[in-house]
Amino acid sequence: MKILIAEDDPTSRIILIAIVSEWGYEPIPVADGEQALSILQTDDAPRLLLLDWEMPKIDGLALCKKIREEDTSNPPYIILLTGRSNTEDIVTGLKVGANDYIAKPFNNAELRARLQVGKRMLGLQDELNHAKEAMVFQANFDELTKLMNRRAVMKAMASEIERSKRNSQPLYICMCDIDHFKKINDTHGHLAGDAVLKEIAQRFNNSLRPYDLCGRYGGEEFLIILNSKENYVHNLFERIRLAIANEPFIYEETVLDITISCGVTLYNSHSDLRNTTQILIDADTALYEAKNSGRNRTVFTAT
Amino acid sequence: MRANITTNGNKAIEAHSEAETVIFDAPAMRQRLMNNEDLIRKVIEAFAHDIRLQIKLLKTAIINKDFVIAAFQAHQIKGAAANVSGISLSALASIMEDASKAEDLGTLLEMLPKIERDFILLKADMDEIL
Repeated sequence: MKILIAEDDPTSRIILIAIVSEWGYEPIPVADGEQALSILQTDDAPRLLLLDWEMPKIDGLALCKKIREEDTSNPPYIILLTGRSNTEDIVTGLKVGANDYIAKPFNNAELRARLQVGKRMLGLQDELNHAKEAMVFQANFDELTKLMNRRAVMKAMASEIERSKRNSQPLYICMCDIDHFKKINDTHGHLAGDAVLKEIAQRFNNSLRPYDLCGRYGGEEFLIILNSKENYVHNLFERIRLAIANEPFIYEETVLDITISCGVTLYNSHSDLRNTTQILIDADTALYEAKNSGRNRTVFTAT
Repeated sequence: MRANITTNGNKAIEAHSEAETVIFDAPAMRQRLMNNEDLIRKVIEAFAHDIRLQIKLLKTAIINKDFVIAAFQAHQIKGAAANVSGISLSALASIMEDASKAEDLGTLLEMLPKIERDFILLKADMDEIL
């Protein structure tokens, strides 16, 4: 684990570098607060910090304040190192954001123990962040396809409609459905069905632009939202359909011919009075028309 | 070995005089530096080089009656000396830091030759263990 050692006294710095290296840490030494701040702004910056109180340019206390002003879910663990040992100073140091405090000249065993506490706290913080990320993912993404789930894609659609109104940009909402999906499940099993859903999601991602939106709306239904010029949007939906239809799916050495049907409705920001439910009904109607006219096709309906 | 400063610094100086015989606690420094001979040599060399400069800066600050700089330099010497178990030098620097904060020029002028002498003694003791 990296440790930032911000200490202007060369003797202390040499000692700290040597002893923390001996304990298995990777020291990143700097001689003033300004250098420390610049190291902390880099990618993969150290998260365990040993800051001397008295330093040129930016002292340890001011540095603590600056670090704590950053809004981050991954704050560093700060140990202030100082010759000041009265209660008032300790309280001041802790108040501005230091996690711990060690008086100089430090005792090696005490410093080692305090660094271990820091390492433990950072480990707990990482676990908490991972748990939070997992919860956010579960709340917004579909576990199987890793696409947005229904709730998230509906929310995204509502906000895209608002943006379309603000920017006077047309918006295309597409409902896609895998043709004869039930047959795939019945013939090859549900694991094959899951593999198809995952592969379709992957092919959608490869065909769409980074700023297009795509989510799993229901079992084998997907919602795609994009804004684009009308002539281009036809090509884009055709590309998506062909990305599925032109390349066979292979599941456990069995070739599966998969196609999708798509129903697209245009939300015209200038004159459109439909709400999200009405827009989805129109996209769904277009989808049924695509199904009824032979599947493996895209039907557009404009309002 | 911390001594409290009074307005004229006399008590602190007396306290230091009583204990000034302990220049260098070599076993304590060896222990802190994990008995690593290379590290001990490196630390002593860095310390000697740095403290010469710090004392020079302290002297200039006192001559210029710049008590803020003097307090900072004395604080630096105090910390560095404590790290290498230079007990007497660290205690003297502590007195000078307090005297600087109290803008007690008399004490600072009185302590200046002592801190220079203590550094020479400490360096000599350190050289003996190398």
